[in-house]
Amino acid sequence: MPRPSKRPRPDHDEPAVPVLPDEVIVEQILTRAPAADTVRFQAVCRSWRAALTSHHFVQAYQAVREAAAHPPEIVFFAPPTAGSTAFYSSSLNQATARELVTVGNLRARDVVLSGIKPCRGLTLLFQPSENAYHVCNLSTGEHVTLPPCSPAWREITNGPCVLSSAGLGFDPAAGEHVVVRLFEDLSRRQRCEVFGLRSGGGWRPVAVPPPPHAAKGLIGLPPVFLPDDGGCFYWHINTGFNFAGSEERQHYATPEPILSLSVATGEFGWVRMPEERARHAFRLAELDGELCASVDMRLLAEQYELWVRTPAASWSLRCQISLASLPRPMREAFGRCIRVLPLGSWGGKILLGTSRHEVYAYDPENNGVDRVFSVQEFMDAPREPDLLLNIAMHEETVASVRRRPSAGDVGRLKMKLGRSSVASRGGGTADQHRQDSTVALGATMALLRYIVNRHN
Amino acid sequence: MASAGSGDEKAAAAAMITLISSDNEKFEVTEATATLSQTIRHMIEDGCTDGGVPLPNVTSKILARVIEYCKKHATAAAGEEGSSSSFSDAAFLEVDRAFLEELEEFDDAFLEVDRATLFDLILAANYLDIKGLLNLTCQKVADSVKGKTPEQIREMYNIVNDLTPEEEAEIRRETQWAFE
Repeated sequence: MPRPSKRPRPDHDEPAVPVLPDEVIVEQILTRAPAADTVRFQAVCRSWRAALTSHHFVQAYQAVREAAAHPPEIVFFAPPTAGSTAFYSSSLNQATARELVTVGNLRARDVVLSGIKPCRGLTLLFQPSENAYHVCNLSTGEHVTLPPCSPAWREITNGPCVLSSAGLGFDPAAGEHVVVRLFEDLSRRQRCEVFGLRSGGGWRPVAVPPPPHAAKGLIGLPPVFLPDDGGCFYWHINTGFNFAGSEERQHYATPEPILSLSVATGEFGWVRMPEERARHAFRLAELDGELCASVDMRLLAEQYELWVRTPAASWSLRCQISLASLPRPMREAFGRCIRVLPLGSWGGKILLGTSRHEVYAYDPENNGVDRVFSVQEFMDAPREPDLLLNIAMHEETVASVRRRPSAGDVGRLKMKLGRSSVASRGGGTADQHRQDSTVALGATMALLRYIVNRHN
Repeated sequence: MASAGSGDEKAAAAAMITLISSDNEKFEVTEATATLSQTIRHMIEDGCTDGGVPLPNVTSKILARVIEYCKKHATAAAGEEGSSSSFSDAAFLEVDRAFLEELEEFDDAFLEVDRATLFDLILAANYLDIKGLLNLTCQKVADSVKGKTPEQIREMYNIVNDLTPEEEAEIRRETQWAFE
């Protein structure tokens, strides 16, 4: 690139500014800029356009984020005005939350986050009133609305859910994100369909039809996706919930409570629960890349248990979270929410998200629990959601949904980039505690970053 | 370099390296300081630093600043290594926190330079492969692009817009939410 002889600001007394090579600008500077800004910079020039939309840039951006070892971020949403939804993110123990995007035509009570962390940077949003699915990058606001899907049967009249469940995964063979939806249609057939984000072309049935009664026990919860072995979805099939106390319960019973679907082969399989916990209520999640069952034993033993399924397909007990031995306010706060799911682990602790829009850091060494995030700190928390959690892990990422506007793929959400941030409302001892731990966390993070940098 | 036994750490720590800037100025630095640069570390490992390391891409003005950064951070690394056995010790953490704060203040002050110097530092850090310095300087520039329009970016980086009006219009249509 020839250097212009005319300086941009000749009246200024600065020495001539050297020209940085494109490679340095893109790989070293833009990988450290907010993801949303990089979308706009596609319009700077041809080489930036090519670089910023490349897979290489997505990877370089992620590599820089990982090297910086930022503390985990939590995404949550709320209605800034009636009829719209704003998505926010906040690092653990932070006093501010950043507005990521606002969606003008989506009601906050009509949003289901399909998962507790993004799949390769993307998030699946379900809009029950419209029976619509949207795949979004919540950092950049890029999104696509999937084509309309067949309506699903509603077993419990006026119940929160239809017999349908969709999840977002990644097909490494095709190199694309896929949305897989298992459901019972209006003529009571069990169906499973997949939509490829890059290949498009509408919903298509998976290779092998789902097993009998597979969708009868869906309660709206999205499946867990694990990227191992070409990708696999796991659904919790809870026939007892939809057909409690009726003869149908026996009739529709499935061989095991967990149904798996291999993305690579399109084949279904059944997964058993650990023998000794087969009769307990549980919820599926992912923990450190493994399938995790969060077993709710509050009624029996006032504890939660986290079981993980090892690659050898056997279950092992990861930890027992005893509520009874926690100090009183924590014991109550932690014990009263409808559901608790692991979000991930960090610094030797397990992060547990609750349906009351909080995150606790659990230390397996001493059964200690610390509250590290609460929506209540920033705004009045909404009621507990009917399904899953209203919070998830957030990743700042430039991953693209690969929408192709020329092919008619459009996002129907009125997306706007966030401009503001929300300060913590503070309040009493909890706030003091938070500030103390913020200082400690800040120092630890600086130390970690420092060590990482030195060893790189 | 056959005499430089790899196990003799004291000798290695005291070893001096000569760096030669593009305008032929010589800088004597300890090996610990110099090896914050991966580029120089590899040259030392390959035994080709006798008679000094010529750095034809770095002026003496910039090299002096780079060395200032490396000295500070090399001392930091040495101090930390000495006490890393008591990593969980509260007293150590206390010392370490004070020290990290000092380092952060140093970094902040270090960045108080004009744009030309900042860009020169980025080029030097990239060429010498000094991760910490590259991260520090690039993050400063990255923070300054936040919220900027493509026009402002072109001006900041002296970039000629080679997109046709039709192409630019299409990109803006595809990414229209990012411009609102």
